[in-house]
Amino acid sequence: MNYKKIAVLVLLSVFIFSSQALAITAEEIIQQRDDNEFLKSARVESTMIINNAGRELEKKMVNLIEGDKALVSFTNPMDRGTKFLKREDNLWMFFPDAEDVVKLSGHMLERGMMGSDFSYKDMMESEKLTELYNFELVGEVEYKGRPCYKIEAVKVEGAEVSYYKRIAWIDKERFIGLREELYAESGKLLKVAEVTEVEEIEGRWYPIRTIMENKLRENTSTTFVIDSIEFNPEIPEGTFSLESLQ
Amino acid sequence: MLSKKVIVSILTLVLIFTASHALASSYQFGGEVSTGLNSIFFEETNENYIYETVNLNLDFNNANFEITASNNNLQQEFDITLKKAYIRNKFIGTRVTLGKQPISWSFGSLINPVDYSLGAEALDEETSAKYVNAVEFHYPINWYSNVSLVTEFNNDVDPTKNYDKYGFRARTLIKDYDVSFNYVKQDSQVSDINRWGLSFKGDIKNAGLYGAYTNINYQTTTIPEVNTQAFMVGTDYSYFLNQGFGNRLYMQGEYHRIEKNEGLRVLINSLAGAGVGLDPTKLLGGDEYFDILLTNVSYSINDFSSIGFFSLTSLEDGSTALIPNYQNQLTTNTTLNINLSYLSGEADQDFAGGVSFPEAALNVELSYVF
Repeated sequence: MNYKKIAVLVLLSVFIFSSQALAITAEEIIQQRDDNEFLKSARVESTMIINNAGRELEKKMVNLIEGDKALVSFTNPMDRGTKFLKREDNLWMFFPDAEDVVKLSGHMLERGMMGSDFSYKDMMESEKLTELYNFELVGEVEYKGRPCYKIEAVKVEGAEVSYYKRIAWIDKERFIGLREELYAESGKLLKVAEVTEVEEIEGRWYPIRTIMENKLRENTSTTFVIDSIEFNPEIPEGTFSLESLQ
Repeated sequence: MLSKKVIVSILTLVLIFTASHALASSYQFGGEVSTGLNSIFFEETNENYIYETVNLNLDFNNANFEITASNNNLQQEFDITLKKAYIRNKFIGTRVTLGKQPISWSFGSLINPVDYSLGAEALDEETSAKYVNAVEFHYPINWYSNVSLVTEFNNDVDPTKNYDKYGFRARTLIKDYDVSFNYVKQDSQVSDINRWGLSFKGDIKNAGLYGAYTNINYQTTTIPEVNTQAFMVGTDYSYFLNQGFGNRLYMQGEYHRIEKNEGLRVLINSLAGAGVGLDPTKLLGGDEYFDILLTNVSYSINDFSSIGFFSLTSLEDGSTALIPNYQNQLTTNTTLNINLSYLSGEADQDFAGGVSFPEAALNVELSYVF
C-alpha cells in the first residue's frame, strides 16, 4: 500500500466529512436567529423616534408580550395613558380621557402605530419566521465589518404576512439580523430595517436600536430603541384582558 | 335618598382607607395648556374671542384628580371645572369607583345612541356631560366579558334639576364581535326616561362593521308615555396609497334612523354633542323617521399632519353640516388644530344656521402637553 495515497485519501475524507458537518442550511440560520429574537414572553421598555425630513417626534412605551398577546402602554406626555391590547387579530384601545375601551377594526393592525413606520403588527407581534417563509441561503457577505449570511425568504403559500419577500443579513457569529429588506410581491422594495446596535442580554444577542425606513414615503424613518428588556418575566394571570386596559 | 347618602359615605371611607397606601406610593402629574381663537358667524353678526385653557391631572394608582381652568376675552370669565375627582379600589373581584368620573360606553361610532349620557361623546370630542358624580361597580367575568353598574348622585339647589339615574352595561365578545347591552333609567320631577340598547362592533373582511339599536321610553308631566326606536349601522375602512405602504386614507360612514315622536328630543342630545344645532320641534314634522348620514374621511399628509372632513346630512331635506379639520403635531408635545363647521341648509331645513344659531364657526388652537 502506498502510504502517500492512504494519507491523501484520509485527508480528503476528513475534508469532505468536516465540510459537510459544518455546512449550515438557511432554515438552521433562521432557527438560530429566532432563538435570539423570537420573544416567547417579555417586558420591554422602549422609545420610538419618528423622523420626517428633519422633524422628530418621540414616543415612549412599555410593552408586555406573551405569545400572540400584547399589552402596550404609552408613557410620553402626548399619549400618556393610551393603551392597546392585542389578542390574536383583535385590537382594543383604551382612551385615557374618557377612560373607555373601544375595539378597533381589524384593518387598523396594518396601520403605522401612532404615526410610525412600524405597524401595530410589527410592534405587538413576535412571529417565528420559520413558520411563515421558505428560506434560501444566497451568499456569505460582510456587512458593516461583520461576516453575515445573506438569506432570501419568500412567503409560504397561504401564509398571512405583510411582506411577500424578505432579504436578511444575519450575523454569522451572533445569529442576529443586522439588515432586512422587505418587498412586495411585485418586487418593489417597501421597507428597510437596519440594526445599528446589538447587546448580549441574558445570554442571547438582541437588537437594541433599529431604524425602519419606509421606502414608499420620502425622508421618513422610525428609530426603535429598547431601553430595557426582560425575557420570560412573570406576567400575572389576567394581564391580557380588557380589565387590565383600564 | 338618605340611604344612598349613607352608602356613599361608607363607601368613601372604605375606599379612602384601602386606597391610602397607593396614594402615598406613586403618582403621575401632567397636563395641557392651550390657547385658541373662536370665530362664530351668525346670519347677521359674528363673534370672535380668544381663550386660554389649563388642564391639570394628578393620577395615583387608585385615585385621579383633574381640573380645567379656562378664560376667554368675550365673557371676561375665569372658569374652573372639576373633571375628575375619584378614588377606586377592588373588593372581591369588583372594581369600585367613587366620585366625579367619566362614564363612557363608546363602541367606536361617531355618534353613540346607547351611551350612558347622550351627547357625551361625538366626533372624538368630549363634552362635560361625560363627567358625572357617581359610584361605578365593574365586575370582569373573564378577559373579554364584564358588567358595570352605575348609580349617579346629584344635589342641585333647584329640585327640578335633581334626578335619580342608574345605568347597567354588560359587554362580551361573540365570534370576534364586541357586543354590549346597555340600560339607563333617569327619573326626575319633570320627566322619566328608560332607555335600553344593544351595540356591536366587528369586522367583515378588511372593513370594520358596527351598529346599534335603542329603545327609549319617555314621558314628562305634560307629554304622555311614548316609545321611540332608533337604529344605526356604520362601517370604517383604511386604504393605503403606494401598494398599501404609503399615506393612509381612513373612511368612516354611519346611517342613523330615528323614529319621529316626542322621544326624539332625548336622542337629539347626541347630535347636540356633535356641535350641530338641531331643533326637535322642526324635526317632528314631515316623515315618520328622521334619517341622517354621517361620513368621516381623514388623510395623513405625513407622519405629523392630517386633514379630515366630517359631514352630517339630513336625508329628508338634503341639508348638510360640513366640518373640515387640519391637525399638525409641530413638536413632540405641541399640536396645532384648525376646525371649521358650516351648516349648508336654508332656514326651514334641518342643518341650518340663523339669527340665534351660528351658520359657521372657526376654531384655531395651539396646545402643549407636559
